[in-house]
Amino acid sequence: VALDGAHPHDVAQLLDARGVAVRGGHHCAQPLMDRLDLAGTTRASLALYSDDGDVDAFVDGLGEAARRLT
Amino acid sequence: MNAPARDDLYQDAIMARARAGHADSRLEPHDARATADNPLCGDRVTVDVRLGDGRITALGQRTRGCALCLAAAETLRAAAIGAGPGDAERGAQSVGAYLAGGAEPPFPWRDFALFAPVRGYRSRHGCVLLPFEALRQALEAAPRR
Repeated sequence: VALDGAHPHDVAQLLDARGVAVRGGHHCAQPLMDRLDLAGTTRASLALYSDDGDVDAFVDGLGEAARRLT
Repeated sequence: MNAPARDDLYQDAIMARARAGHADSRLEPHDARATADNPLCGDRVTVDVRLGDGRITALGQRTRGCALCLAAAETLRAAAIGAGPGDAERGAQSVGAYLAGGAEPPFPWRDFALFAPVRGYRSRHGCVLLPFEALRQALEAAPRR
């Protein structure tokens, strides 16, 4: 998903406010980000203990990020 | 159940500054230029200054960063006109102290009180302070006349 104009750390912060832990930034791959001309990305991962509520919170946070940051 | 979401960092006043449209407003010609990086997050601010009698008469910048860094660079762009040697350090110190819970920064940095919501997010203080570091380096690099 691309949120034009939104910085990955701002997206991560808004998700964090909803209890969703993601990683934002270069992910130790700065040359790749430079090649893609990206400031970074926000990466979400599911785990065995993730449930529907976690996914709902993620989608809610992503919508809020789109509203506030783009 | 999670606590209610705290989205106060991204209130309208801060986002209006971030979107002000001067994130790529380089200054040509300029008397000095400097770039500051935040290695933790990759934010980068370049500041150009034009000087008269040792004081800033015009300031341009290019910022690639988060909304807080963009808003801080825009706030600095307006506040720094008239600043001279040492003012960037004093500005960074007063704004840094304010973010850490101290008194509101004095003129000409008073507008940085806008960033009151950032006080509760220590990991984001550097986002607001990075433009000051670029300005400090630019003033340091400026030719003495």
